[in-house]
Amino acid sequence: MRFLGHFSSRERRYRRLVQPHVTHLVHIALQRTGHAALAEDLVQESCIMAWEKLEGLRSAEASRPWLVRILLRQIADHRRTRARRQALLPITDIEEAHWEAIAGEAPGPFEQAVAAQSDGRVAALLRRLPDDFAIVVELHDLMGYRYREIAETLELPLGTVTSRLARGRRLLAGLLVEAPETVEGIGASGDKEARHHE
Amino acid sequence: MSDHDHRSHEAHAAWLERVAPYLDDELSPDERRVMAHHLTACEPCRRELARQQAVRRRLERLGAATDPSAPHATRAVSAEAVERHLRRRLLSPARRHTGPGPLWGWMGWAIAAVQACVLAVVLGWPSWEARQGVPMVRDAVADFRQRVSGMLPPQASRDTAALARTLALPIEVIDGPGVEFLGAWPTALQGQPAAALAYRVEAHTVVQYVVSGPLFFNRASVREAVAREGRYVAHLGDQSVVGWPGDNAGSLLVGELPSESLERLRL
Repeated sequence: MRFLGHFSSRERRYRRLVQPHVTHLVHIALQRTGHAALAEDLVQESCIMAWEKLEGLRSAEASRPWLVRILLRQIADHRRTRARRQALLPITDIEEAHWEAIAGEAPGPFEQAVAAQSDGRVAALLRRLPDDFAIVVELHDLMGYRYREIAETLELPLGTVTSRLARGRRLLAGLLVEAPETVEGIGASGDKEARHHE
Repeated sequence: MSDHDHRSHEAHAAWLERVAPYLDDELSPDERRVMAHHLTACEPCRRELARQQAVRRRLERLGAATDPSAPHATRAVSAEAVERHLRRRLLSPARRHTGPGPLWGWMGWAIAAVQACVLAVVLGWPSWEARQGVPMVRDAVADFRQRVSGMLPPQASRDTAALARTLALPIEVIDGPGVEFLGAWPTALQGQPAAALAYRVEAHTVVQYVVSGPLFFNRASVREAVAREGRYVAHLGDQSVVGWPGDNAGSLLVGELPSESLERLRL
């Protein structure tokens, strides 16, 4: 027997504005962390924060970007306080190699190599990108956001979104064709690779 | 990269920046036409396009594989599980502390509190306890909040006579126009046995808690309110509470209705 959907006004608001986006938040958290229990914790904390700040949300349209911002702050806070710092990437070297490759390579092998990568490896490499690039790439290529939605969600100029997306893909392309032994170092200390980070 | 390549790359920088938006269909029709024309003549831009496209396709596959809402996805974390945990945490009586606000906010509250105290003294308003609810009332409201959006407990029954015998409490079901009795079950307020009776009143759910006389009259604010007005009224958040004494027992009616409406139900 059910209580026929009688909710407090706050809970009604929560159900209308937050609950429809929980699955999306889980998707982002899973991709960002690669860890199911941690993703669940971060989404829960984000939802509790949303519950507490629900009065500040003015419209249903604004709820998803608002929630994603809350979640991304939770993830960033977690990284700052508890998780190991992200391994630094030799960004300049990767981009340099990319420009050399597109200046001279024959079409075909790169596309085949990328297509052959496992989901786990692609996801792990994506998490190795600096957050600024990775989140733009994830929102667009994994979750189907348009540029304008990303700009609104992350509160960035459209040009920055365009640039970060392209650079994020280039960096990922560089990592995807790196030698396997280098890639196996994902998640390990990045000190030996930390030459440049923008 | 040779000097020639580098110069070539720099000359193409503006074009290369448009490759991703071209691929993602984010250019205006005019920009798109110009870019398409450029691509027919520029091998590096075509290679950049091919690379961006290969990465995007691979990521789209990854996105489909990891989307928790996709029917084939491995549900390492389900939104339902998150919701279940949230319900327990958000609707539990010990609600999370929201943390301090900015200084001006606290000052505003402090001024408001002083004004409220002055008014309370001048106008003889009810005590804080009377307005915020005694522990028994807070337990009843917390129980109401937990129950109201979920299922009736499995032991819920319409046999109130059996429940009254089990709990040794006199239980009188509220009956009246527009009031539908849903079921009753044993519960506890302040660690003491109580009966909970759920009703549907129009679109609202209302729960009556029947407790022992000693528990009902345990607090002075309840005793004084009943002696003065024949009933006890409190408001906690969205919920109103009306309490009245019975035969060596007391009832608390909890619902998201004005207290006047709750009072009318018991008459």
